[in-house]
Amino acid sequence: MTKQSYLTFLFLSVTVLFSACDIEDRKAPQLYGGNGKWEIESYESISYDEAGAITNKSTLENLGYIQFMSSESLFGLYGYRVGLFMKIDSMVNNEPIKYTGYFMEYVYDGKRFQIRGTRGTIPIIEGLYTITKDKKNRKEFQIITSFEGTPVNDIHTRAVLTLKKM
Amino acid sequence: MINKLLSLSILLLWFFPTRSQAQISLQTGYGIYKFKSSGFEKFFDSYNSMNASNASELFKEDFSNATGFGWRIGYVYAKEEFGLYMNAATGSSTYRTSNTFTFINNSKRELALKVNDWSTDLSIGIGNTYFHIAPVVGFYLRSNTAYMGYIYTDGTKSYGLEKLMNGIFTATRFSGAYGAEVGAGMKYVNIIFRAVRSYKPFGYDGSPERQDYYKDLTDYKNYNPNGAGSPSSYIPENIPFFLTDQLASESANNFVHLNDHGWHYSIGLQFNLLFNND
Repeated sequence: MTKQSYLTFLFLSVTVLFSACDIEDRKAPQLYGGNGKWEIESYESISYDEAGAITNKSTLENLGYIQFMSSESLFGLYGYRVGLFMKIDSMVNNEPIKYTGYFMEYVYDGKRFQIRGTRGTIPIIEGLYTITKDKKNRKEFQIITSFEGTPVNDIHTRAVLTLKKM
Repeated sequence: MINKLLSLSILLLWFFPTRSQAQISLQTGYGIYKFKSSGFEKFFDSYNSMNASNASELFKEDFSNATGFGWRIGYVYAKEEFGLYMNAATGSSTYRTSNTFTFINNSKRELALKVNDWSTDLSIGIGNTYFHIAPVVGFYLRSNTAYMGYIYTDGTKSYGLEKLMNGIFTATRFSGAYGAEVGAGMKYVNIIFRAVRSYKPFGYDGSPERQDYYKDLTDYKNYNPNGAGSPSSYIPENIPFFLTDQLASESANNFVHLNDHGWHYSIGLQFNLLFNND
């Protein structure tokens, strides 16, 4: 076998391995890589009227964090992996801190991000998001949470979920 | 499927002559894909008919020309003196195009298409290391992705579930190609011009069992009941039919299939590596 043949074989083998992976499998390590922990930095909700003007805006902070894991969920065939959402309520009016955990599954394909509870619905953050910022240590996703009217006369609310690597 | 095709490509290169004037070539270049897609034409026509009264700008009849870059690696057989020229190469190229429908309130329905080709072809013609002209025959493994998004008046772009047509859809097919290439330049670098036509995919029978229609990437939509009003996990050719009865729509094979075909024109450079001129 010639040197050229070895080089060609090596190059094409790497290409075959790369091509064989689904896009969800290639993208997921961006979330579960490292310690896999991401803080929910903010959840901003913005409402628009028919003309596209803002009618309401609110921001939720300190919602907790998400632990993304590499293990596949029951829907692993479609790229879903498991995780844990932890909501931590800080001390409010001298009341004790509360911890609330939700088992969840997620999928991430570079354009969309979905999170959903495996035992009940996760409040506020569950849904199928469109990715708007895709940095190594910060991710921003948006979702239309409500929509009324017609295509030419719509009232909608958009939510922006921002995650920050811990 | 892709593994089998690439294994075939490797075998093809294995048996190609590796003595004397044989060499590894690396091509890279920019291309235009002028194509027709009857399925998307029907989708655009259907969407335009449904929403004509609310339109500021309709979808164009079909996608405009797709453009993009590609690379190929292969074995070239050529001598210093004029004579037989052969090139067996395999590689990838990506073309992009889009089409947009604008409503009178300036919200938009956008459909962007990414055409990914893995091609393997053989050129046998006349020439030398400085110039050649050769007909080309080969095949393509084509894997397309259609990004169907909605852009709201505030600029928000969504692939979410709130619109029935939203989604990211993929389809894969295998097709043949023929054409010609001309190359000219120096001993180690040639400028290459190629015109290759991919024809309609092999074995296209339009049956719904085949995986050649555009389907959503994941099961994002499987949690929704598959009745009227639930988001589409495929791109329908006839939208009113889909909206009226989704189950009947599927039974009637109302899918946009991957059946685009047309001419690819590309210009690029061919680098001749590990040249052996004994």
